[in-house]
Amino acid sequence: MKRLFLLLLVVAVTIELQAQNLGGGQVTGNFQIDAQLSRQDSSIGAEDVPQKLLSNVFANLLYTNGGFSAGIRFESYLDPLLGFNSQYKGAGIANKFMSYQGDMFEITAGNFYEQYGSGLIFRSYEDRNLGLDNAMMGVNVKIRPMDGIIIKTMVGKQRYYWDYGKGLVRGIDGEFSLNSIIKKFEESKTRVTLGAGFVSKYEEDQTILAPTDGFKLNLPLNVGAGSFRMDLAHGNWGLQAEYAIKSQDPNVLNNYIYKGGNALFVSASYSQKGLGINLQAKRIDNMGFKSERSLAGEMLYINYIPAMSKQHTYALMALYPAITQVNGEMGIQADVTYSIKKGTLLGGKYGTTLKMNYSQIMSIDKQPLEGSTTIGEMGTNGYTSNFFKVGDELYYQDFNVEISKKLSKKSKLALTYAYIAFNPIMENEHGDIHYNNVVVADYTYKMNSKNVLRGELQWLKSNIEYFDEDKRSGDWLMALVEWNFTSAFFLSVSDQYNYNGSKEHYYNVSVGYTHNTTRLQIGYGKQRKGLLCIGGVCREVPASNGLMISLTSSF
Amino acid sequence: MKRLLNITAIIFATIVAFAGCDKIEEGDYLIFAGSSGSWYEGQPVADHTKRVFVEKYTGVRCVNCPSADVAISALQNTYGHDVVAVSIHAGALARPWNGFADLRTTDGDEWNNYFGIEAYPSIMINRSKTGNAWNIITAVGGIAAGVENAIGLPADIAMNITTEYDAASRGVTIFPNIEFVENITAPLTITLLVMEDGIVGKQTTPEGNDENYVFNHVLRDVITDLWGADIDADGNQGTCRMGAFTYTLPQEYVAENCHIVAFISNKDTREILQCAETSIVE
Amino acid sequence: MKKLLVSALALFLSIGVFAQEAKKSVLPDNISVKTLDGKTVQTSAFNNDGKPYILSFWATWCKPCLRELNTIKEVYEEWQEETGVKIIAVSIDDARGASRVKPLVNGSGWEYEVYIDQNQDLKRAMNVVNVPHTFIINGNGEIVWQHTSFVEGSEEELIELVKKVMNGEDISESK
Repeated sequence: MKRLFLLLLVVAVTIELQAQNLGGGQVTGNFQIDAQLSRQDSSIGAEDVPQKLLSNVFANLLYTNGGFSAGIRFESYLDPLLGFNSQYKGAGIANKFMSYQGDMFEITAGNFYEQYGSGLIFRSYEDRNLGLDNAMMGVNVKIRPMDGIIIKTMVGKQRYYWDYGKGLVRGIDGEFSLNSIIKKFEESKTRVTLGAGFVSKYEEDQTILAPTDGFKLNLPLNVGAGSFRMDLAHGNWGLQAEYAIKSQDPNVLNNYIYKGGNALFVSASYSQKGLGINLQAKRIDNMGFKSERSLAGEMLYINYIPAMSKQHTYALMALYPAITQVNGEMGIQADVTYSIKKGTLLGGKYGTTLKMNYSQIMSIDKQPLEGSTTIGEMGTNGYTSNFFKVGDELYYQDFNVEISKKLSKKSKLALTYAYIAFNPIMENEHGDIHYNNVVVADYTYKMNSKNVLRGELQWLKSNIEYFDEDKRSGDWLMALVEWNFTSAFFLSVSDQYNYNGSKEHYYNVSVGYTHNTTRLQIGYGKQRKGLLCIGGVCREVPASNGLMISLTSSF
Repeated sequence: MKRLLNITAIIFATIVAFAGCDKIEEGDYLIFAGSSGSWYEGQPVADHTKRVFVEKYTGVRCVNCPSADVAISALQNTYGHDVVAVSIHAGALARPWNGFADLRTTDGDEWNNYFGIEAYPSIMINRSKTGNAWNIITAVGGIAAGVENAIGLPADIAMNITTEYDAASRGVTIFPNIEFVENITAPLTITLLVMEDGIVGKQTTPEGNDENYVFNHVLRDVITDLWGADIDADGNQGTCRMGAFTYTLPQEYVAENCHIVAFISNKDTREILQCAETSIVE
Repeated sequence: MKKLLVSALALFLSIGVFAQEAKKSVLPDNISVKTLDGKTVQTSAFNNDGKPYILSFWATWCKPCLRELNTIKEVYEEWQEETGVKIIAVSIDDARGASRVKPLVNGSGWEYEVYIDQNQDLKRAMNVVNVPHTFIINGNGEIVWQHTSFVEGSEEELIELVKKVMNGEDISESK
């Protein structure tokens, strides 16, 4: 099968190479090479790397000709970088597809990425930094019977390292833009888009023993999830909502309970020039949906539930990130962007931008079943939950303000303050809630049209005394200086100092060179052990001390 | 336009209904996983030879399967109780069709899938492996050689098996009695199953369909969990243990034709170390 | 298998060389992205009345991206008057950030044409690995220049390049 695919691709590409002179088709691609040399450093807990050199390589090749396209992706992990699952070890063609698009339809065979709505019931995606790829292997069809209607349907299995998960995933989704469908509304200022999707997973039966002696679980082999969504826009106003439900799905995430799941996501926004406001609310109850019921960890998720909080990029602000609790959480978020006009008192000569963000994530209400005292007992309905009642445990809270201002033609300053409360239960650890105050100053100075200096000062003050296991608690200071020579070259030096805690310095020096789309970056320094989180999904990264080389390019 | 929407809705509804989700009623969340038995002090076992477990995957519409039956019953005539044979009806050629009986079981299907059996007949002897691959014999001529290689070897573990049957309630109590002849450190499980002889039905043969073929050693049910119940023993040489397992014989099986088969396997490798067979009714 | 891999890789690299010499890549015209009002549009609708435009991939969580778009905001009016250039900013935010895109765009006072590529179809089709990734597309829909990363000052290079494209100069070898 693999060989056949490659052969076809080679044929297609060969034809293309000859055809290129005749003006048919194009080949593009990109690659990324990450290499790491790390040595033992007991002070930060970095383990010895007997292989010395570790590397991850990705190479994509894409061929398009009119409506036809095909691609392959080569990946090698020899051996995987620290923090990547050792099951990635190996090299080969990880991804391959062919696709044809006509006027009203599009069909893709092979690997594909797709999502229905916001992903509450289905999202197959890739995040290389997290070592996460749940690409589907199968067939995906999109049909546009008329303007304003898109029907998608797919079937396949999910990638699991170099293999595929056991579960078969099937789905259908429809999206209807009423303004295009109904003539009367064509010119309406109000734009309405409705959508609905359904995804079903089939997995073979297996023996999972129940706590009652001699009994096992009667497992549903087909598990379904459906969702309805709408997107309203009227001038400056916007409202988006999605509600999803999931059928009985006893799995390792929910301790094999038979309760169904549901999720609600609502977002409202108002914006005009210089002012943007966004309010969000969500409630998740037992929505862990995987294509293998007994597999823990981050792989083989069918759906995607992002964390409802701002994704911080400053290192110390991202020290305690929010992690999605698929078994239950309720959250709200408010986000305001405000530009103060030039020439006003606060705006000054160049104007000022103000950003405010608040988020709070709580547990949901969970009550034991009648006649029981425990919550979430295996082989039962688990618990009951009052939809509107907020649970009494705080998971995460974040209030942050950012003021950015151009001070002169040459300099810019951004000041950020954040108050972050973090419950270690999100990482399955028990302990007191961490309350952190973080301040960041980010200053940019343009020396001339070619040389730009940038500096960051960050300070994190925590209420939790340092304890050795996590290498994270306690108070931190960080400084960073970066020199850019045009956008072609940069040099940056930084140090993160756990001054009230391990007393450890995590220094780093990196240089980078970019030419068009080719970028080479070399860094040397120490990396703290911890979680790398993107979008509420996290990967554990062990400590390292050494060299990191990264080369990316696209053509 | 309207028609288009209707068609879309119909497609939607069909797929939802087709690939929907299973609903399990509240009282049915837990099902019987197979008897896990209870264990007591046992008696020494006289016979210390290792019996051979011959497991045949077969089908009613499998034209070459009767010849495997002939080969196996010839071996049983030669070696007597030292060859324990089970016929498992599974796979494509076991599907009921046009007057053929359905002799399949969910347990048999699961084993068939687990061992990756795709050709019929397929014979496994003691579920042995070469490297990571199961030794599966698909040529009828290879069965005798396979059995002869495995027969007459000294056993690391010895077993006999007795039953008590109450005809009124159709309750069977099964007592496997085990002696550790050697020290065994690997975790062991015991699997008990019921098989039935003398089932008459239609079978495809090289001469055409035989309406009155007699099926023997047909797997009816696995009493324990599919992969066995843990043996409660320390594994030291000389240890003797006796288990007690209860089972109710379903009405549709003829008690006089039913046998209980027990086999002991390595929990990790699933290879079979010893087996024994007994009838239910004396 | 190993042989196969090696040959695939060799093929890959050789194609890389070929592609460099081949004619200019064009913008994929059949990818669906969403407007800020939730409407799905095809990339074939991307145009600037025959004039070149700048296509920039960004995300709400990407600091250099925000710096790039904020920096250009200061001079965008000037650019448009001088050259008629247009900026199309494509957000690759997922569900976490997608609903914050519109308030952020308006709140920051960006006058760009903004789309959301939530499933990252366009990102993949255009071989974007990291953001920011900026393209200059000429009047024929051909990609004439692309660059990753941003630092204050590079907006000046960018507009110089756009002007060259307007004058019909070939900039594929310049930086």
